[in-house]
Amino acid sequence: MLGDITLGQYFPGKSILHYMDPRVKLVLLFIYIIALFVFDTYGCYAVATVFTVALVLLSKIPAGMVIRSLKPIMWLVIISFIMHIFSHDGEVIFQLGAFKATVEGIIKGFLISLRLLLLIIVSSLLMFTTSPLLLTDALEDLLKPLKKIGFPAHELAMMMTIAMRFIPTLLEETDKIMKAQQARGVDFESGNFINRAKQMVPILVPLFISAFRRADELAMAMEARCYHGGEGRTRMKKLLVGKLDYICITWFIFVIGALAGLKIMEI
Amino acid sequence: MSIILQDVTYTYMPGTPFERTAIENVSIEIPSGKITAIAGHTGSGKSTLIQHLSGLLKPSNGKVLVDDVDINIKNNNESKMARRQVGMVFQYPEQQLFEETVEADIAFGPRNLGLTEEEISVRVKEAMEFVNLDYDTYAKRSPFQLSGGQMRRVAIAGIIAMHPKYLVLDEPVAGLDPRSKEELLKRIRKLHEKQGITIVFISHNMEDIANMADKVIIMNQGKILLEGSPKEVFDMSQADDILLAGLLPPKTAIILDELNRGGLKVDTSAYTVEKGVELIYQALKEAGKC
Amino acid sequence: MDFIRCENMSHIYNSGQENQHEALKNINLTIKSGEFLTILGTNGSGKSTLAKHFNALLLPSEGKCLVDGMDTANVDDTWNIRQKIGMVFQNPDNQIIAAIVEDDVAFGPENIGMQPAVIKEQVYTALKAVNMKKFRKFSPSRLSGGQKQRIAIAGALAMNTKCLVLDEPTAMLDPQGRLEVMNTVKELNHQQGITVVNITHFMDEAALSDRVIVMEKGKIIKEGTPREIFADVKGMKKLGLDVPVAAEIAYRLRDKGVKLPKDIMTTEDLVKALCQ
Repeated sequence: MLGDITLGQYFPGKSILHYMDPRVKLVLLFIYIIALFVFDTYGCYAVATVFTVALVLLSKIPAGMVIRSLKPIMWLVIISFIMHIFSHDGEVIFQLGAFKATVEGIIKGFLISLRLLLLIIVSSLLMFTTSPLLLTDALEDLLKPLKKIGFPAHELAMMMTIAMRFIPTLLEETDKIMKAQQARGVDFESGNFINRAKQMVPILVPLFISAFRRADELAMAMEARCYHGGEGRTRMKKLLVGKLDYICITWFIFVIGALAGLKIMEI
Repeated sequence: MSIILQDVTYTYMPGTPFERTAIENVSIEIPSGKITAIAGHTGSGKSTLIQHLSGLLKPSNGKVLVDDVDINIKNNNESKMARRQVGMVFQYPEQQLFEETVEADIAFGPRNLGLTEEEISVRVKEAMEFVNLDYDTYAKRSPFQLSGGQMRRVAIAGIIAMHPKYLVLDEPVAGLDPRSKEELLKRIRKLHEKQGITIVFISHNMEDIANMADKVIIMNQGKILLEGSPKEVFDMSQADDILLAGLLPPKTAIILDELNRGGLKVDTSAYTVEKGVELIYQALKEAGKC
Repeated sequence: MDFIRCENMSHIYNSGQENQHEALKNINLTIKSGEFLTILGTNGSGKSTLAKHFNALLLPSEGKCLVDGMDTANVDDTWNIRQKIGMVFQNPDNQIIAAIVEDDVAFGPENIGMQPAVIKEQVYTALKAVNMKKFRKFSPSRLSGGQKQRIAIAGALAMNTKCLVLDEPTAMLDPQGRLEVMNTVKELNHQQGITVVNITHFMDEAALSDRVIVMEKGKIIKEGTPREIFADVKGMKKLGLDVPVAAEIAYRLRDKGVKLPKDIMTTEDLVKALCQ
């Protein structure tokens, strides 16, 4: 029932992208996304597409999995494509009532859709090649400077860590409670909307009670293990920016440089 | 009349990298009117097995028959009625309580069966009596203010009130202290004797199984390892199999065996304390030691 | 040397409120360094409340609790006390914090600010001590209950704990898991001299310890070696507790007039007494 849900998209492997420091990956991804929006000539799109495909190949993630990760946003891409076809002035191809489809529209729509797809592909590459744990560590580290203005970076990361640890447990529990209530005659598969909503009560109440109890016990266990917030806390695993990362950063700078060059020359 | 599993195989998440066969080609019979105990270590497939008895899991392969009716036929009334014959109490059932009062929680199952309010109220009272919870004291209380042992009895009453012919319990006494454990087992046995309800229960505790069961099934790695009367299963010649399955034979059986090895000629056919004491006493008499 | 000392200790929950409840009454108890103590009692007898005083998760309402000479009521010593006393709770799922075994074991050492290199060493040694070295990269969700509890023990050992307080650590485990956990605990007690306080409902676990205390209604009502405690079969049953099977068989045989010593507790004792 709920067993089919797997957590995150992490796909363990041994590629350059897997071995890169997660913080470097996060920062570069951020820059690349901005670059995709700023550098928007045909030449830029061509280079960005080649670069993104190269990244996919480099990651050794099966292409099928990457394509599957596009599925949820496919509708968004299609709708935005259609909207663009009709919303630009230029050479009219055909007309639907007041809406005019133009050549410029098709080209613009294609480019925007391509940009969206590239964006999703690189973002999912990050998820595919970085374990959720490293990702939280990276986030905590990157957000650390914000602590000075009172941003709870450590707390946020700890919350994410615990959430990741407990999601499988709570899914299992939900499954169990659903079955237990089914054994008491609840029918989840039929009835109208209101009836079905009502049937959530016997699941949600026990689930919440259990989640609170777990939270309580976990808090106690953490206290017993000397947890007292981020202050004075060290980490066993230190993230390290290594040689590989510097090489990757250098290459990345070349790509961004090329994109900027093409933009300036308006190719 | 019985529950019959024919060649049942169940695979979790088939077709994914997480695919795992929990039980494989299991064929057993749960005889009506008896107490059947199922033992096995965590992950041996016993919980998966019992969820098949009431149709909560549908076999990937094979059939489940309750009183000769296949319970997994879709949109079939006879099949649905057969499923209702089997009441299922999960491990730590107190975690499924959700109503504001004990009475309302126990009434939840019967209400889902579509019974009249009068009938429901009769069943709630009767079920509370069976689990030894005084109606006047507890009916209007919140189940969440009760002790762990009491909450568990409320949860079990909720299933009993649905009047199942077969009652399946997954580790009914796990986590209880010896007193609450004793009390609950006594109640389950009484339910069996007074109402003739067929009991199936999972336990790790061979003492409890020895004291209660007419039939014992021991599972290991998704298969039936041993099956038979307690006398057959707990025969010390099979002790190694039981140990291999991650379980311990009843202490009394071990003690009798050790006594024999130590030189006291004693009949080793007992597995409960009462019977064990009797046999040792006899042996001592014969040996002229008392 | 006294490692833990409770002096006239009481604990009142919800003091001054309608639902006020005195969970501990005037407890006097000393636990020696290196001792293996078992606490028995029915649910609600105050066992867990008592255990939580040992590492300052609860503070006495009256009286004192001293750990290695430090008063648990002294806030400055709270973290020192918790480092010295490791706790393992009943539900293995609700005490594992990280999604990878070695990260979880490192959690305690990280909290007390050990250096990364030291933590790595501590985690390695601790996992080795509980025999879980090869699972260090595993996700806890793939471990059995017994393995999870051993990870929890490793989490305490990695902080250089001197004493393990175990609150029904085996209640949710199968026989195999119980055996694994108790063997680990016994080994740590014997070989590393770690003080152990074990709360349990399983009488054969109690038989492993040096000393047993029995609690009822917030008071310590019996104290002695396991043999002394289990000699009183009738008294234990009356308290809603149990005795090991060998002790019960011996008791019933004595009842029938067989001459047997009163302190039979294990199968070996019984065989020795009956087969001479």
